[in-house]
Amino acid sequence: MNETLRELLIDYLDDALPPSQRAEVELLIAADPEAARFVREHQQAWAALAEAYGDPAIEAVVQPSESFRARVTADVDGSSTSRAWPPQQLLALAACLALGLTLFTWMLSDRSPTSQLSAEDQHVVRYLHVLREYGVLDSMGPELDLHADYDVLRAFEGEIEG
Amino acid sequence: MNRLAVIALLASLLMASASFELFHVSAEQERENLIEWQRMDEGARDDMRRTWRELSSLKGGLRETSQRRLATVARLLERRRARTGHKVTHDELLTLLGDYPERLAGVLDRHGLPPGLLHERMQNRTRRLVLSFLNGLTETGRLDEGQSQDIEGLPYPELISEALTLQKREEIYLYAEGAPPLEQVDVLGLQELSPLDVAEKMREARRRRGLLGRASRDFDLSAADRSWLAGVSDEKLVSGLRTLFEPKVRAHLEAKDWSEADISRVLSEPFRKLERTLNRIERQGR
Repeated sequence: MNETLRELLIDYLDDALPPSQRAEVELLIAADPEAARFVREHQQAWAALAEAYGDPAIEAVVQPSESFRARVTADVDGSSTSRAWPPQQLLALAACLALGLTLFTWMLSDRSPTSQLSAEDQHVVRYLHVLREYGVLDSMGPELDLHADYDVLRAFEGEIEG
Repeated sequence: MNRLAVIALLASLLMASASFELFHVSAEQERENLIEWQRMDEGARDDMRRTWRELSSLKGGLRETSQRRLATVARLLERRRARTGHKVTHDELLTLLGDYPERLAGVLDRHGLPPGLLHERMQNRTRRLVLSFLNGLTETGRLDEGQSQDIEGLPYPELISEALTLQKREEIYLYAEGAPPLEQVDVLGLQELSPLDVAEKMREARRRRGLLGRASRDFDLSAADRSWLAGVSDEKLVSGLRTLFEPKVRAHLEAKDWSEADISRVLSEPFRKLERTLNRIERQGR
């Protein structure tokens, strides 16, 4: 997918397009499976976050109230009063930052071949080669600790020898 | 600013809780895992899911120990595979680990020491190396003397952790200083690896550079070939070496009256064995 299309789809997802262009993008999504998948996965990511943090929090994240935004802006500018924020708002803003960073990382990274799996299965697949050997962690624990310590020794021996 | 710090901390905690990562896994390994996953039946998959949940639910020191041991298993599997060219089976892993204390005693020239004492001696040796390493950094102006003293005063686990972090930084710095390997740093993805994995990769890179240096001298390897081979995966290196060296190795072995079967065997050997053969040929050629 080229960058222009990606940006267009993100604007669509952000609801930042005028109605006429929005309709055009919807036609494009209907015709282009890759674009449709991109949009669907974005929406799934938002839905997963909503499930994880609760709908009210996500609503707060997506559309913070004017007063909330004003307080954030004032605080960044260093002109706010020292009034403490309620924990819910701190959490909402943190969730916003986490969501932004997660989506940013997700957009920048190469799409993993496991991206169609559930979050748990993605982890299981990533570490499958060692999870299969999970039993040796207990049965061969001292040997593994010895091995790890020798790896450390080798790391510094290489430095000295090098 | 304090509020922003709290928000950033909360955000990082939220992200961390959503994505529990053990250690970096290469894309190649992940693809292999996916293929294996697709071949597994649902019962076997459930077993793996249960194992993952058990691991994820561990807390504190137990979790730390399990993560360190799993990372060690991963390094061991990867290293053995690079050496032998095939995947390590479960039984092979058990044998390797079972024999490990005795083999290590041999490597350290400490035969007959009980494992506990061997461990203690090894840690003493590591501590001395770390202190020399820190000393070297302060002498070359890469580390402030005060910082070095702070690190030297730490208990052993923290001392090692800090020293490994510095060592990773230095390995990347040294690697990036050479002729145009900044792209290679990206290719190797060093920043996202653990310090021990970086050390392993850099050891391998230095060894590979030595081999390629000798190869360029003795086998007319061009600068372009050498540069390309320095940055490719092990798999591509082996196939590249075979393509470049095969006619020369074949001619040399034929001149020594090797049979076709023996020549084919040598040329189909995994990287380490092929390297040893090339070294032997090089010595014979002098």
